[in-house]
Amino acid sequence: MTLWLYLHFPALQLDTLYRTQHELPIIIVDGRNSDIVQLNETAQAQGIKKGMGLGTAASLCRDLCVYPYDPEIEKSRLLEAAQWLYLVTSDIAFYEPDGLLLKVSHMLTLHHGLAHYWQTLQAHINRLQLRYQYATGCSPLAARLFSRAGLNQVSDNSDGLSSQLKRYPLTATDLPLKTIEKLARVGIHQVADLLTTPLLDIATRFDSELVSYLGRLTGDLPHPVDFYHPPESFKRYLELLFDIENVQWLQKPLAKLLEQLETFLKLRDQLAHELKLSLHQRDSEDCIVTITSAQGDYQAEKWLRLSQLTLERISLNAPVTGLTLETVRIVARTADEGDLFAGKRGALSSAELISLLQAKLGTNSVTALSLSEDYRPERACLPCAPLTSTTIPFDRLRPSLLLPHPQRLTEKVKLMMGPERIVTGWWDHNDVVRDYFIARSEQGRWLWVFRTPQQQWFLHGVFS
Amino acid sequence: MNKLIDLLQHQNLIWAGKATPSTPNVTSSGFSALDEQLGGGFPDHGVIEIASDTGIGEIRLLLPHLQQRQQLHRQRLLVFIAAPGQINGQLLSASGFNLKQVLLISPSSPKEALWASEQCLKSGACYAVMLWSNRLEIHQAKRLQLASETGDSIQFVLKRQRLNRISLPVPLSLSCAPHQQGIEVTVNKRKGGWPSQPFTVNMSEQWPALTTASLPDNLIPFPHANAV
Repeated sequence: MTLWLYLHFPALQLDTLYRTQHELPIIIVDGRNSDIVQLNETAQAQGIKKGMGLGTAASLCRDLCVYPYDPEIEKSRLLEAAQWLYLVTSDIAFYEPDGLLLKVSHMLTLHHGLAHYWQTLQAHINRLQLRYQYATGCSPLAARLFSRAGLNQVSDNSDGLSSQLKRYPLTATDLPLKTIEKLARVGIHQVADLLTTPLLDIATRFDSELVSYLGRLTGDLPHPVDFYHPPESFKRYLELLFDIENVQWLQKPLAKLLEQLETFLKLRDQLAHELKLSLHQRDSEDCIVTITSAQGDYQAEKWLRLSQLTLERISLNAPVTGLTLETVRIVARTADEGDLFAGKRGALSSAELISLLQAKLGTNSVTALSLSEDYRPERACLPCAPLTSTTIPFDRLRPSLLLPHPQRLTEKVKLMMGPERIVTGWWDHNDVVRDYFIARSEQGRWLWVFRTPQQQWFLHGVFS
Repeated sequence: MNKLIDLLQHQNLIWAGKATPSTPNVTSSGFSALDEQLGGGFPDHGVIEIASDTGIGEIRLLLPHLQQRQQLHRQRLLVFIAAPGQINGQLLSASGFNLKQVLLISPSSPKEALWASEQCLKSGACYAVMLWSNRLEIHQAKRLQLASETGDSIQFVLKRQRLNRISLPVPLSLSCAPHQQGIEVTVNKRKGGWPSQPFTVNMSEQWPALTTASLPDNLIPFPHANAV
């Protein structure tokens, strides 16, 4: 026998968005008839019940907060819950919009029995801060039935479970309303009535769906389940409870997301090198911010510091309504290569310092130098990303400072050495025909000048 | 009684007269003439102010010293902030610098330059920071000094000659002038030492192409000889 555990979250949207607002009676209504689908304890205390119409509820309570039901929120929260539960249990399946099915049997060996497994799992679920109903069953559908009915029982006694199953009315099952009505007309109201009826009779009078449902409910027919596989990258959306116009105020909600990222990365023993933060702006395009860390980080605190510096440079067009944080580059963490005996070390490593500088000044303002095999002075030494320099041996005398573009020579100089002729670049239309000289100006400055075939003189660098 | 003197000395309330205090740790500058004037070399940390025109050899004056520091700090960086041109990697590479340990920062404002400089110094990830800044206030110099002590790093502030008006609270201040055989250096101020007269640092060994040989006494330049 395979044992299944079903978790039903009766107020997923409410718990996700409005958990902290205890004082106000809050209800969530579903579109068509505006029936109440979720409500908090304050609303319950006022006498409001699930399934009531909005009108009735409004007449019972004066200061009612009404929100529309949004399946997308529940879906994403359910995914988060699955990601969280995946840390302690392996096989998880979704029953959208508000249920999770766990396969218990495989985990029992690890946890030395059901009691301990449930204890671990329960402690883990409680961290989600969601209200939930739970129950085990011999088949996925049985567990779902018990859980939705609020049985809240964990047991692996198959006889007890099947006898319990019989006590439920058909309205508690997932059968379509039409079928339930049909069955009621022939006097079948309880699951027990249905189970005692010979299957052959049911098959002749009703459709095959009822037969297959019954088979799955009792566990006689196999019930294939698609299990959840955790994603390789991190992507979370955070809905802000109010619009934010000041970039600095984004720090608190962002910290929440970064903490989730920290948990994600820590469990996988990974480091993120680049994060993409999308600021969803009201009536305006999303503002995409890229935050990079040269050495790779998982700690929320460090990412928060880098994002703070990065966010300082952007300006918002419109108020921000939500944040999405996703990882762009993730690598496995390697052991710190720092030498214990290398002597005094500072607070930051080189890569950490570079991330810090790049976050504040922009990636292009912090560079390193790389030599390339080109005789043109402009191309021989090019900026590159820090810590990725390449070197080629070179032993000619070159100035220490080059001008970004050669300038006309305007002062009187004395040529001290040269010429060094550089004629190259005819293949890529940036040809250079120059005679370079080392010259000394009358003020005693050492200059690197060149002469073109047209006898024009240019200054290209100084020997500082 | 001894205790009282110690206390007063500790608070820098006693003028020590001719008795020079114990010299701080120094690293050779690579030029014997300069070492002699600086009491052994550049200090191991702190802000060093250098007033100089561009192109007379002020970077070349520091290269041997930086090279030595790089030997000691294999993992740390040499940072150039707001250089007045593109720092040429070919020269650095040819002088024995590892380009992987070189970082260039081109900030958009002097304020950012100072911020970057302070971060680099106090991070402990840099063995030296070269900053080109013409206007450095007293409190900024103090902050850089503190940061360089925190991070065990050295800060060179290069500025143009003429703007050197106020005296900054730095342990060492030099000014440079062009010279045929190298560079002429004046020590304006030195912690634990005295200002010096201008003296020549001869670079003809390191940079033979960038010095002009002094003429022997008995030789008269050609056009003059003609005139005589």
